[in-house]
Amino acid sequence: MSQVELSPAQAHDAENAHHDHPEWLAHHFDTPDQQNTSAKMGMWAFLGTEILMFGGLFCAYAIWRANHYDAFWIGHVYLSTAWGAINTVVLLISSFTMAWAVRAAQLNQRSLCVGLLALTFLGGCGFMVIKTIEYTGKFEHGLGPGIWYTAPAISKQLDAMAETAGTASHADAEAAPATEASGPAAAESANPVPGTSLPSSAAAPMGMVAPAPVAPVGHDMAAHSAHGHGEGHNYYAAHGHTTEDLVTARTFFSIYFGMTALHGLHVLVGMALILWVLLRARRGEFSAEFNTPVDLVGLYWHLVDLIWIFLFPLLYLI
Amino acid sequence: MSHSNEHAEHAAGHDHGEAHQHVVPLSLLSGILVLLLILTGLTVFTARELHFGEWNLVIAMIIACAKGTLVVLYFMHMRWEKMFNAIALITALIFVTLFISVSALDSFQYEDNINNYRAANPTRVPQAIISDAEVRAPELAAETGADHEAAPSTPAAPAKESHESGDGAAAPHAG
Repeated sequence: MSQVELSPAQAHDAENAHHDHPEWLAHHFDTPDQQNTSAKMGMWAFLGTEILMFGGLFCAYAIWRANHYDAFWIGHVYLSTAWGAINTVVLLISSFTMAWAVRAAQLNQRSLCVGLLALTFLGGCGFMVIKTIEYTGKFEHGLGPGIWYTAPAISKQLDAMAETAGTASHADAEAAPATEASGPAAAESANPVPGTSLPSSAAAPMGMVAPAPVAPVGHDMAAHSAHGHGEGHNYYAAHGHTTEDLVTARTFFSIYFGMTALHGLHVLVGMALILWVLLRARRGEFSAEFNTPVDLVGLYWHLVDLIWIFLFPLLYLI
Repeated sequence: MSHSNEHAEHAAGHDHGEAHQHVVPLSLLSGILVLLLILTGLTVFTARELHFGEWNLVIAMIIACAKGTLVVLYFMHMRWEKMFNAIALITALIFVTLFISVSALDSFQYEDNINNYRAANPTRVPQAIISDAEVRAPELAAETGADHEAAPSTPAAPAKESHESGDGAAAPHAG
């Protein structure tokens, strides 16, 4: 920086720059207050665009829910309300620790601030771990988005297997009206290992929700064939759904994964930012005078919480 | 310790040219957290235990908006913020509302066409829009321990039946 470029009117030249304002105050701001206000304004403008971006997904949700309520009603059964609620609580608590961390930074409580940021980071970890458990479960059952949505195919395959097994042991399984007696009896005879036979109480609820007269026999068979496969028809039938239902529910899982994945990405970005301000706080860079980064990362983290507050009832509590 | 903090807070507000930040009392933050947790419990309870049909969504959204307002006002300091930031937020919310509303208007414009297509192709497309009461019927029947006669009353049942019997017809050929 050369001296000749500066006009005499300028308040601080290169010589005095390091003396008349602190290191964290940028040259183009007159006061820390002005800098903080400008930074916050920029952050809120950014959060506005974030809301608009998620708005697109909320719009897709609204239109699809209005036109295909059945898809949402069938699909949401496979989401665990308990996991969703726990994740809501985890995010709310981490939001609280973040707000407290901002307070600690404002009050020069350095070690408290670092500790609270670490807790907030752990909250983010907890959220992502639970989300991973949920996602893994969905993919295992063929309930992924797009090409990973193989649930109807699995269900159909098991239906067909059950059907062949049914015709082998009970030639007239379809002709005979499904009674409480024929279902378990057929299942018993087809079961290769007597020791692993399902108790009749387990078979009964599946017969109860079966929509078609032929279904109870098929569902009971499938429940037993599932012993060898560990997953599949038993799983869907236990939720009272047929292959047709699973075809219908496809859209729900696309929307579920679209919304939660974008939200999850924001959680990861938020965690990275928290780690960044945590390290800066540990180095003692923040004080009562300068804590804008903690404040802004806090705002971002609260937005992530805010979006989840709407996602949870819309996806899990239909 | 806490006294000196309050002094620091006081000083931060009045010193020459320093950031005019509002330090939110810890008791207020804790109170907001407790409220948020209670509202979370409430939203789960109303969705799972009370069946008001369409109104369940309205209730869930009212609770979500209340929670969101608490987060914005207190955790995000909006209550003590400059009006400009609130305008940025509210503008974004207005545009999202506008976006969804206009899209919904356009979407329902073609609802008759969609329903006509569904009626003409009963096995090719899902039988929406099923009313909430009809959709809940099998679930309620299962809860009350009713027998399986209740299930075929759903509109989707004929489609399922034809589908399953189609499979059933194919299976003997295969086996």
